[in-house]
Amino acid sequence: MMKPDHRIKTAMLAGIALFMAGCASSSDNGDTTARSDPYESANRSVFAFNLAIDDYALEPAAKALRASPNAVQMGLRNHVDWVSMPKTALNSALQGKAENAAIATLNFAINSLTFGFADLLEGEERPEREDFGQTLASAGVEEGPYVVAPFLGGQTGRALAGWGVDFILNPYGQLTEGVPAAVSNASIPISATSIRATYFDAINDVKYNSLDPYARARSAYYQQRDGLLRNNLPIDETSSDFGSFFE
Amino acid sequence: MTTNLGIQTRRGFLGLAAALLITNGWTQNALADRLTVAENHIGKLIAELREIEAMRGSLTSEKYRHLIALIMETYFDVEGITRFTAGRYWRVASNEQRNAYKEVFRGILLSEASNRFDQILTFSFTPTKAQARGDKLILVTGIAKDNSGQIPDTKIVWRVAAQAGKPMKIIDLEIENISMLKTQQDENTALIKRNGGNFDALIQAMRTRLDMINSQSKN
Repeated sequence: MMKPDHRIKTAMLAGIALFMAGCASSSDNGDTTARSDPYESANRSVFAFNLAIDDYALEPAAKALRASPNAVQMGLRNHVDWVSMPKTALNSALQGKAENAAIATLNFAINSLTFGFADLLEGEERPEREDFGQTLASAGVEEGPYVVAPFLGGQTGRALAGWGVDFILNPYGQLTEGVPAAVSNASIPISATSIRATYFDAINDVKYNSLDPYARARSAYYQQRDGLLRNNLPIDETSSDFGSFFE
Repeated sequence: MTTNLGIQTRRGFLGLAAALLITNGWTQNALADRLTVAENHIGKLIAELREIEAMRGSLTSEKYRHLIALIMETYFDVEGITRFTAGRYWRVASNEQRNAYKEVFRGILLSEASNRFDQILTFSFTPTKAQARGDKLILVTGIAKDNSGQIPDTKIVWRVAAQAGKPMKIIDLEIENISMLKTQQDENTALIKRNGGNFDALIQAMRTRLDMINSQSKN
């Protein structure tokens, strides 16, 4: 049975997801001008807030984590990866990617033996990451505006709606039913710290070496997201901006 | 008569088929050669960088910057990268603005490269695939491995310009789907746009940034 605080979280997230899905389907027309960032001014304010959080909490925590032994860092990274497997399995199945769903399920099941901290399938084929935002994209839902959410960072409306649904549907949430709230609630900041530590230099590069960190982060997000939606296949240079390089 | 014509026709077809096979084989070989040249181009760059970084301690900073500048000119299409990163504003910029942008962008590129190329010592790159994209571009894909173990294996794509009659040059490095070239272009054009399309605003911001990098490297 669901805990009461889980129900509140679920209801809140469902509301956010529905709201964002509404944004997603109403304001995007699929061309590049749809990426004009209509809420840029508000987004920049939230981005500044997120940077302050990073300054005071995430960056110092990530720095401390990087000072820990490699085995600790790798264990956390494996765990974060493992936690995302049910989401990948579920969304792969929804998108008809049976093989990817099977690999993710197998990965989750086998690595459950170590609660994901050790990767018992190291060297084996990894599943392609799939989330509900990608499932919505494959169903033809348009991407919506770019929105920077507090703590979560910049995402398209569709991806943000997908994040909410993934959070609710993730079977991992059900598996931690008997786990004390303090432990299950710690998983989000621990994941955030582990990810921040993994990409420490790349994120610091955006933060400290950019003329416009907001614009750089937005560009990186879109490229990374587009890559996932192409299933990590190379971009078609002839139909992208790269085509103009030789003009 | 009919038999002779038939034999001649058959010979004609056989000749054509042989010519096509030879041409196709030659085209395939030429393509394979280009892909190998592109892959070797990356391999040579990494080897030269490792060599320079290994003797960095014995080099003066001027000598080091000079060597890095040579590397940039030899292996990268600096001119093309400069133009591309200004995006659509390059077309409408005056000659004066273009020259000012070229100068400051080149300065930043060189300074950033000098500050970052030392990372090459902790990474190893294994090419996995080279593929042609049209007749001007080759993608060399591979995996970068962080020998310190802090960063998981990362997929890297080098974009190499391979235009007929010109030496091959790198135009971009893409890390986990994020292109350095495109990101720089997006950042630059966003800055110009936020300043009402004023190209000089970008040049000024870059000059300030370059001054900051130079003062940091002196300290």
